[in-house]
Amino acid sequence: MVGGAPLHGWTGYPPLSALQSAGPGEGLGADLWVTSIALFCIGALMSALNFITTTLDMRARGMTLMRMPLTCWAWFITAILGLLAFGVLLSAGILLLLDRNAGTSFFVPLVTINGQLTGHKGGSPLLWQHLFWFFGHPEVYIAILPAMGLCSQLLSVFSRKPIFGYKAMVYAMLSIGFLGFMVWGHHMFMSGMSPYTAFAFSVMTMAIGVPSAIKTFNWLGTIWRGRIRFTSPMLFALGFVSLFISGGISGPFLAQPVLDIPLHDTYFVVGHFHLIMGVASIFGIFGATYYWFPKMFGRMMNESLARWHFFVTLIGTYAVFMPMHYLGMAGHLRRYSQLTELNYLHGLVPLQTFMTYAAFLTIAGQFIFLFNLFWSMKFGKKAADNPWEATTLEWTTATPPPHDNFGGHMPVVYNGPYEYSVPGAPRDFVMQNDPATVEAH
Amino acid sequence: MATGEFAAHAVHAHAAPTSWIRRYVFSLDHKVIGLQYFFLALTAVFVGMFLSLLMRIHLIWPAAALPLLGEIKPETYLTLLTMHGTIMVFFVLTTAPQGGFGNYFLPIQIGAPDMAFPVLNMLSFWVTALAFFCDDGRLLCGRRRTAPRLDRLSAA
Repeated sequence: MVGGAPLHGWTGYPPLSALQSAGPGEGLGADLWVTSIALFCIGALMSALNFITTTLDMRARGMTLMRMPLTCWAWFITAILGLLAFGVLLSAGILLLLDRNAGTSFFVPLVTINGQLTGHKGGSPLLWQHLFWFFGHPEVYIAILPAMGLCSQLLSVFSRKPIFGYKAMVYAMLSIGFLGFMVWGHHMFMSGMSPYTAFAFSVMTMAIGVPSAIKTFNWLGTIWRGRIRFTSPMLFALGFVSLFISGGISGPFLAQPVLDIPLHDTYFVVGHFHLIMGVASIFGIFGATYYWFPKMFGRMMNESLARWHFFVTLIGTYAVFMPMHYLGMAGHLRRYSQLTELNYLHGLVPLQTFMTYAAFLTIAGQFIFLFNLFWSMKFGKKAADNPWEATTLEWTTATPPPHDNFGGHMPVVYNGPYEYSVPGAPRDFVMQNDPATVEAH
Repeated sequence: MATGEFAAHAVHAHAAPTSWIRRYVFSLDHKVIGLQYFFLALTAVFVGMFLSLLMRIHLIWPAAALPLLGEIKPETYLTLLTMHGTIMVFFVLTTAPQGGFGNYFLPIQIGAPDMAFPVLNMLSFWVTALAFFCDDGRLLCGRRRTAPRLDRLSAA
């Protein structure tokens, strides 16, 4: 392939991404990149439609919306965000393809390359930034909301306590989703927007801190005085809370234009979004894998390998991404490929070297996970139908679940999803389909 | 809300598949589709992680000659950065928690036999997979016509 892969970054800002001759990789490579993004949007839109319809129309008898596990709420809200956000990126992607190949100028102003006119005029690169970030900011929540739902689930199961503030959790997720559509401008403080517009985006962005804090305090309230079982899914859920706090705390700083403008193109932002969107979300994925592996494959994953994986990943990712905040504050710009030859960055090379070694360690740790995953599929200990003593419906069916999930009869739901340590109950948990109805408490 | 009537007749939306292709490749079963999403994301995360490792190596040892890949040039660093971000955001963080676990466990947790539209669900996965191969097919297949330079290795 001539030219190789595109180099316009994952945000694909025009004019770099809109002109075939803008650089190596901006030819066929960039065409394929835009096509891929557009295809992904189509897949995500169909999937979102499916999730929304399923949640609204397919619930078992007795499964009211407010009896759904928070995981289901998270998937439902994520699907709504996806339905509203991916359509915008899809249309932006198609316009970009037209700009690249059909001679239109949606995103390209009058520009020259090496003194030659490109033939485009009158387009607005800012239009792409608006369309991209109108998708891009909800996308952040599309990545983190399912992890929030999973984390709520795991903290409740392994603290043997009902989730603290179920309704508050649902409303917090809804308001995070709602506010997520009003803050895209905070990615564009650098674009020369009016200070009044920036102020509005800034206030809305900081408002997201409120539901996020509600969720964090509810997680802490859930584990407070619980009889905590430190299993591997629980460790990852606790790791998620830790990362959510350390990654999120830099958010209110970056939400202010006066701080964001000097920090935006530095490693500070890289550290922020990797911790909160990347690693926190991946901790949710790991927690879910360890939690649901027994249901999916009928065997348990090896617990000591899982613990090694957890501690290596937690220490490794903190060691990679925490120093980025210091690099950013010291003025180290991001996307620079060569730092060893720049005088003003010399003092920061030891820190960068440390981060590279930490990255080696973290990545080595992921092979523990890969090995554990495939080894346990074949040789893991046989799992019981409900190994974690959890209450939700997936643990009432066989392992792995039959083709129609419940073996010919559909479940009827009598209880909420987090009935743990119920006074007077025979065990410390009451299944959702257990007809011995629990008094509301 | 028609949940009561729906749950009353416990009929599955589609019969159990008999052929291997319908069971594991073009499956309509949300559990199989969930696992397909999960393994797509697992592949993607290791590709994305490998790209980040190359970036970290280049930052510290810019002149290092890597086995098979040679020296990483500054513009290649930008392609690594682009592909790392695209793969991680779209094919890992969006794909695994929602497409993977959501597909597998949303119907079971709400007590449904499958997703509302099984065929649409299958199409969603295969369009997503097509997007991934469009993005990274050459990177994965590793077919190289000329010198095995990294910038030629990755197609998009």
